[in-house]
Amino acid sequence: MTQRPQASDDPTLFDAVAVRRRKLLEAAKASGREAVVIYSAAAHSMLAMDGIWWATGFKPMAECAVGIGPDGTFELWVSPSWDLARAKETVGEHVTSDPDLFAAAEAWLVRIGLTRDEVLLCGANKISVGRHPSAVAALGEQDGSGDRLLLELARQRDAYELALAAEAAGIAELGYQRLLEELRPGLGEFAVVAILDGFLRELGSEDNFVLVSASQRNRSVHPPTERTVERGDVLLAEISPSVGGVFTQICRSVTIGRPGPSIADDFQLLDAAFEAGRGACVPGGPVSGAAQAMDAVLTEAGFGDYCRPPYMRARGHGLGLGSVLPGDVTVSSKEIFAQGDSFVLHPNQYLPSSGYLLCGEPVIVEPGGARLLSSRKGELATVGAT
Amino acid sequence: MIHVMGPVMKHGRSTWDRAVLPFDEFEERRLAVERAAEAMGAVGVVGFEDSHHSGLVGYLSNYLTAGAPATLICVPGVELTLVAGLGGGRDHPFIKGMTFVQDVRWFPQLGVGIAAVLEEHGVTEGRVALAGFNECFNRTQADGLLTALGGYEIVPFDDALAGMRRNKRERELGVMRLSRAILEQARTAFLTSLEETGEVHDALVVAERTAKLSGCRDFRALALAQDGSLRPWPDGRDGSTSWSRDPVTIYLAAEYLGYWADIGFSWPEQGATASLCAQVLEVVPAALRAGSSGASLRAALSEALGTAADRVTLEATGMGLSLVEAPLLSDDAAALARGGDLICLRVWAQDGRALSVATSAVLVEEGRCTPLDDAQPA
Repeated sequence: MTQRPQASDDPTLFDAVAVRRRKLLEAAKASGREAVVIYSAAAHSMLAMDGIWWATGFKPMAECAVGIGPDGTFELWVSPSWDLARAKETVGEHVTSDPDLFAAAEAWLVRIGLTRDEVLLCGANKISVGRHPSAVAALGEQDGSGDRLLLELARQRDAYELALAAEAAGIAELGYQRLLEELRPGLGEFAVVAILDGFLRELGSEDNFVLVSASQRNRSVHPPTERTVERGDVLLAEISPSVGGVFTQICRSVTIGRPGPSIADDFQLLDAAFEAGRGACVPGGPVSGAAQAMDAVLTEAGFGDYCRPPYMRARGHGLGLGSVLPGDVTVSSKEIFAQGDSFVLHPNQYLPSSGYLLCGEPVIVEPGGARLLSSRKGELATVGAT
Repeated sequence: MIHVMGPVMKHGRSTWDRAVLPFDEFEERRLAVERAAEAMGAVGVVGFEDSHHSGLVGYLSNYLTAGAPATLICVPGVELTLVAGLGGGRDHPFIKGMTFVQDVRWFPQLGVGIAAVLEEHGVTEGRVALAGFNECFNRTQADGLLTALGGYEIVPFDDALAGMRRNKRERELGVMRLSRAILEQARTAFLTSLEETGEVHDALVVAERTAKLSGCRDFRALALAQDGSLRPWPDGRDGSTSWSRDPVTIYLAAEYLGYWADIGFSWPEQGATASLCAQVLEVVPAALRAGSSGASLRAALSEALGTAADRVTLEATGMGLSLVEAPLLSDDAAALARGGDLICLRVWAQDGRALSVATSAVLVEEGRCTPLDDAQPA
């Protein structure tokens, strides 16, 4: 049994979320509001932020909202009612269940003597058309500014979130290493994922975004099918476990049997592109610059025509459930890197000789370029070479 | 009502099994959709879904999105068009392997793309019916979509689709039987592991692996904690929840080829709450028939069990492409069972910290209901 990485015991979740709520309230007040309501539909995505999780540490299972009053006190409204015990265990006694969260929020505003105009709504983009009338009835029409404000504020990750991100990266690497021990011809793609999922669960991951596909020439990486892995295949794995709500991602390529020379060369090319992109991930630098730096390496090698869909999608992306800024790493991005930005950088793409290959790591933006959150860069791995 | 923690991505076996769900099955479904559209005067139907909201896309095309939203455009007499993928067509070779629909596209602006496809198919005006619109979009996205479709009269198709999905076809029932069989394997694996290790978390890892190795695309679990509350599993960081071991109470749900099944069980099976669950699953099916409501089922329970019924939570809802779908007998006072409904009965009986669960899936007929395992289509 592999030992799971240990997260730092310090700082605590309780302290971290208290500071987050205080900062959010201060930012709301600076924008002319007195209080904050955060909404979640609990339709979680690796590519989206969940404000409830960020502000309370509670990962909702169904529709949920939290109100943060002018004095910093807060109330969490949870559904379903039987999930109350789990919520209280995470956030303390400030939790109630209510079948109508927006009505609960409206009543809370009345209790604390505020009007709708004095509250900032975060998570407006999570409110479906079907729920929108109830939200408007309770909180009035909102301009959506709270969503961007929350993303920007949460972008400055605290020590607690960074510790979880590092733990998740460690779990991803350990899970991958154990998968290599089990990987063999004859396994279906879905069986590979089932085995990998089990490892990640054992190591402490509560969720996983995973793409696994194998082919003699992959067109892309995708959810697992029934196709069996065979000698001569390249198996691709995007492994993205979550620990305590923080996702990470490593991107790995494995040859089943000895790799042909083009695959090894193409992987080295992607690795060089990764390094070029990594160097461009500096505070104040444009996100598009990182994508351009990676594209430049591939273009110089004669693959400029392949630096666009459908041969690739993005050169990296944010990772929830905290802030997903800096967003997709693409040449069209308008975002600017900030120190401490945490995301996955991956020059994953299709090349005509080898097909689609994966090569990517979770990184943190620092003045000298992106620092790896994983222990080391992935290499082109081989199983069944003998 | 039952809730489970949804993953960010359904990442088990993703395929189109032509033996179980052949092309003609989807042709029949499409005919039903086109008849319903014609009855409401619609010249086209557009369905939306994402991994959290199943809908017309999976029902008509077998394409089950793992994460990114998907759209299906259905114009009578014309090939279906599927708008799917994360962007730029990278995912389309895979998507085309999951469906017979080969006109697969992606648009940076969905509404503009839909309007272009409708126009390409000769639909330039008239009534267009939308399914899944209220669930899959926020107000800003919806406004953009409606602006792009401004040349059409938009009407909802959700009730019509829900009606079709309620009346399960034989092949749908067949897939749900397979899903249930996989969950039985998962239960057996769970109990075997529990006996060996004594650890609920480890046994659930084994159960999930068993289900996914058998081809499930998604697997969810709830387990009883020592404080008597029900918790989603996994709980985030192993060891943070103390799971109850006496009794062990587990609720499992799995999706196979798009269709859900669930199973609830407690171990050991003896005890007052387990006995109560067993009684409920005798009384309720005996009372359930076309025309039954949640209230009538509760009344039957009270009559048979007296005050013991107060310790019972009964859920009676439809199931299929969603874990919970119409009719919501136990949550909607106006809902009535009708012939062809597949109803999942979930019974929770609590006594202090002891909580037992049991489940049963039945098919409603005019004067009775029959277990799913025996059921023939109405």
